[in-house]
Amino acid sequence: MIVELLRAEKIIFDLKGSFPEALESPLRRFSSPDRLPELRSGLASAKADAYSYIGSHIAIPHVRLEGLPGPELILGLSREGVRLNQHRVQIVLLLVTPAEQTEEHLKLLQRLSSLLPAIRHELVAQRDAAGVLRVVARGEQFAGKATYLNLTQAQIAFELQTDLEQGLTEAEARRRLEHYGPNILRRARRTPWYLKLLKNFFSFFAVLLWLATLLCFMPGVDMPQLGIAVLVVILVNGFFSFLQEQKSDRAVELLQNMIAHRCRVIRDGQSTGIDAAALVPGDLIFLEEGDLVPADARLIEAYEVEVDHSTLTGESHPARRYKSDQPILLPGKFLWIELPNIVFAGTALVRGRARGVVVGTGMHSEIGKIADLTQAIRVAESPLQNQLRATVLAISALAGALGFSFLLLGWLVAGLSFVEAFVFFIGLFVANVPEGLLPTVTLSLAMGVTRMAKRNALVKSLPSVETLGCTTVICSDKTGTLTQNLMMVNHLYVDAQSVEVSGVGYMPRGEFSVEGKKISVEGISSWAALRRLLECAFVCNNARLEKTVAGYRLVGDPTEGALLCLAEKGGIRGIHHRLHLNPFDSLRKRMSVVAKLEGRQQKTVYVKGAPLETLACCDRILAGGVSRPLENADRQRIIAANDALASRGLRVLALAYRDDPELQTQEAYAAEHVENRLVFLGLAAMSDPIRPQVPEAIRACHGAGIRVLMITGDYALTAASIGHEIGLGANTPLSIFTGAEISEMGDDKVKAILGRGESIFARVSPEHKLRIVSLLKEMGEIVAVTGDGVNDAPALKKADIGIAMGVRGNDVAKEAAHMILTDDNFNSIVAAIEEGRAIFENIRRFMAYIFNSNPQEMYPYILWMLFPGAPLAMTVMGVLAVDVGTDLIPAMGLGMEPPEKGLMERPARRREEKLLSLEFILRSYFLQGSLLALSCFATYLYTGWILGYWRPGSGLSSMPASPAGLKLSQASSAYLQTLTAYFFPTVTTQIANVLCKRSRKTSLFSRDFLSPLSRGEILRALRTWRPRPYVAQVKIDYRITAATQPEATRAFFALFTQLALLPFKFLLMVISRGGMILERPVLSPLAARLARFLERHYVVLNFVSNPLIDLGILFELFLCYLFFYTPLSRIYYFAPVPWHVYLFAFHGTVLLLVFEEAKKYYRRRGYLLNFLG
Amino acid sequence: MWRVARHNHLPARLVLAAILLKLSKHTALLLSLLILGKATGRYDLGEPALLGVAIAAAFLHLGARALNQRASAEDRPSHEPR
Repeated sequence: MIVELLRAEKIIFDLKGSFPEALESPLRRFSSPDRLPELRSGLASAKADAYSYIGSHIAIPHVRLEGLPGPELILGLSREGVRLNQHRVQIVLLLVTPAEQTEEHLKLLQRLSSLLPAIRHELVAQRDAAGVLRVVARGEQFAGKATYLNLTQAQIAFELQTDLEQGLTEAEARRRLEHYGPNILRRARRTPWYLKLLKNFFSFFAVLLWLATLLCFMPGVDMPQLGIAVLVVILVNGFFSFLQEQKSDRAVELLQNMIAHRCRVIRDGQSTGIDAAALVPGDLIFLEEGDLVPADARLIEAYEVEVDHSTLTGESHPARRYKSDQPILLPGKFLWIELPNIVFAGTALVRGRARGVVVGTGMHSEIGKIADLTQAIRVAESPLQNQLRATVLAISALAGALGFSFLLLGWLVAGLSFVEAFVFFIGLFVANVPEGLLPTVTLSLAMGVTRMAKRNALVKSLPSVETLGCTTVICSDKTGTLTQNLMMVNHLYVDAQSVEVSGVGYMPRGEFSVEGKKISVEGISSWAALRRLLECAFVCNNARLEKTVAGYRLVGDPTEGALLCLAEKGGIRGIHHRLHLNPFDSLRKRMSVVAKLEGRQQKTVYVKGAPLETLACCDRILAGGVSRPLENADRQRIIAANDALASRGLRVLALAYRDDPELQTQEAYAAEHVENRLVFLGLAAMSDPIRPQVPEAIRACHGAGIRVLMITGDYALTAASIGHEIGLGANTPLSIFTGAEISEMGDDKVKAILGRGESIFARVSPEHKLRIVSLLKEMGEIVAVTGDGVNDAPALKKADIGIAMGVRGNDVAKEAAHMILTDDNFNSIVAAIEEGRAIFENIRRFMAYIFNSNPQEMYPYILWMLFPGAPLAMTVMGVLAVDVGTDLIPAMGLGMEPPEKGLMERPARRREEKLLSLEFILRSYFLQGSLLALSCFATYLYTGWILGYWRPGSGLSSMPASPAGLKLSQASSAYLQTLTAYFFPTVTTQIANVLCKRSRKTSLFSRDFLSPLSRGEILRALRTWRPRPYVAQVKIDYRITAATQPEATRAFFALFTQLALLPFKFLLMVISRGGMILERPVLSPLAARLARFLERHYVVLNFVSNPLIDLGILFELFLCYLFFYTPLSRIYYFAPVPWHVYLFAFHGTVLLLVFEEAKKYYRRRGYLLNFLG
Repeated sequence: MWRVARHNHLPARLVLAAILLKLSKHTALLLSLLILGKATGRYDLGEPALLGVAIAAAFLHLGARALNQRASAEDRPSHEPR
């Protein structure tokens, strides 16, 4: 942080003289010389207070200036020292920060005052700027975190120019509000409404209507009134589309909701309730149990304060917070966000009451920075979206060029009028533009989302689904994702022996064993030390286990739950009378209970706590069934055992008791009276057990070429232990790095680490996580990242796939994420990746399917243009009919095929791998598509033959001719029949095509086509099928009383929709009632018989197992009926043909099935045959 | 790795929306062709009928969008506090 702000040119050596003069040299390096007078005046007005962090050798003159772009540091060094008051100052650090960044200012001061004393000698010894920067960087690694008490309350009051008793004056608060802005989270600039409106007037659909409008005004058409009417339709449609679209990203609103709306503040010495948006830095606020914290505040009074900061850090346990100026309670150093004397906006007080001084508001608070980061990250288009868009554009351009050349040829060469030639242009363009591709892909992704939801992965944004398929790295949390997020005691050290304990979760059943030998319940009872230890675990405990339908639920702290569960596994039950409780305290690191056990008169103290601190209170040990004095050798042995357990990443607690005669007469039970002269019982080591399915999932990831990185806030040892247990790193050595270590590394070094194998990153902050994700993305990896706290939001948004935890995660993390795991389980990520891959495969299949139909539509035009006298076998209306009939529903059906066997055994798809290569398009068009077109021409010629026009050997010109000028209203019946004959095989061949595309290798006629599980599920669903009752919910409200215009409009449309849907709802209700009546006598037996039939005839089941494909086939055939036999035939220009022509058209179906089955046969034998598609 | 195919919970709303969207574009294109057809004497449709086709296309389009938005709104995870 400091090293990032300090530049080499801002470091000065050999400062000389007395203080004000010596300061001139750093002042001259200030980056805004025009503001020097302001800076000097700021320093002068603060007098000696501005140098308040002096120590005896360090001065930090500091000023806040308005309108600075960012903080600035200028460092002056002097070996002999500069005179200031009675001191000789060797380090002068001039700090200038933007006035509105109050919290940043305090953060820097706190950090500097911690860092500089630690590195003073080394710093002064440096000769060049590079050396200084090196020392600062190293210093930040080891001393960079602030200690608890670097800034006193008086200093805070000075820096914020406030009074810690009277608060700010109203006038000053108003001035600051005007200056710093309100305490709210601002939205980043969004697309203006008028651009959104404009976009809706020029969507693809609107452009088609614009085309119609333009045609109306063209010479020769001359329908201006219709043109104006269609224009009105465009405007109305665009306006309503715009109204529908008014929804956007809600992440910032959710963050804003976490901040209190009202708060109590002291101004002019008076307590008053104000709108939290009016809070300014320097305000004094009151907080009570249950309050949401309205702004970042330093506590100046705190009584038993506990804060739930899960929204900010994801940490589920409430944390104690203390007032500032107490003697140091908590030694050690903290990140800013961990400081125990600060509360942050968005957190909540779960206990106690407090008074604090506001240090940061709005976008300058911690939650504001998260909002800023979250909004700053642009949501990029997914690779598939990019590819599809580029492909659609390229094909559209090609189609446009082709169409235009035909327009010119038709108009200038073939003698058509311009309007007629234009019709051809439209026909060819429509035949070739895969405009349905994007919506179909979207739908396929949506179907994938539904399937993933069943595998506990809720995907929020559709493009993320396909990105999942090319995931190469998963950055996973540990707690709750790889582990079960509970504690379980698995090792005991008692009576100088190591005892293993087994079990599952909080279920109070498990076995105790020593060196592999099981200990019976009787054995436990007769082992005095073990029995006493379990007794201690049971009594010195505030947790409770509740039996639920699903198992056992813990009420209380997980560590205590683990001990309670342990005691119950050892058969400890019963009641006891608790006389006194000394709760756990972070100073003592112990908890004790004075109790009388059932049936006993004597009092016993049971103690549990941190091993070393508890051991220090013991002077005896229970060994071999008797209590004897604790020798030094015993202590060394216990410490060694503790170290051994801790080095395995286990959390260790010591247990002890006391029941000596002195205690029996004692009446004072406070900790200082009872927590001494204890008898040591043993150690209990616990860990968060891994989820059982995780090792298998990790193996699947390795098989699929996906690397897994563990990123956790937990300690390195614990993380390493879990990493080894789940098989991270496979058989290669596992690298472990801490957040502090990677802070020190340059990007190149971190990239080198990220580029090799699997690693663990422990004790990392959200910034580290974001950096790791950013670097992985720079390296070209497709990154999936898990997270649960607000502070994970930037990393989740930055990742290709941000995965929030559904159970533990908070709303902001869920909002920022692309996917939410409903069970927080790593296994669900792997399942989602498999689905993602399947979706990509399916998209390829249905794109090939859609492209296959294009040559059938194009060839008739080419032949008609190239061979004068050849009739046109498919009109523009025919092209449109193919487009609407055969392309959509079967293609969607292909999109819902389940993953094929072996999908997760292939390496991850490369990001740059093209979904649509030129080879793929050419193959789809000219090989597969031409095969289908051949069948169309065969049927076309067959019809010409039976109608008496065509003979084998004669050319196309002998077929029924197109009408003059292509005036289809004057076309002969024979010509219309040939149009039908050409059109119908486009449907029949696509039926075979869609069925064949369902698998790449497996035969459609094989029992293996569906997995046993799939088959079983379908049959079970059929056997248990019952008609569902439908009750129409109709709520018609005639009074539109809404206050605002949009609400009234919405109410009107709701009423209109209700009325319009009424007949359909009634019809559904009638059908449903009919179904209910027929259920017992007809429907259920019929479904059961059908299930039995399909079980016997698996080939039939294969054909009907994808209902959307079957529906698509029926829809195509139904459309054919409408086009051939209803008045629509006069619009689309078809005429019925003899039945044997329809039958003949199915030859294409049979031939294609035979061809594809032969191809699959050879593929199963190891021939790839990629050139055949 | 085999997995169970589940077709019983098809996102019917999305399927319907896609079909309506396709039909709306088809109808809009049909309108252009009908206008050209009328101009060249191929069809004998009145202007009110052509306007009806335009309105039908707009309704299909709005219906498809409404269905799409409703489906995505239902898919959106809930924001209830924990």
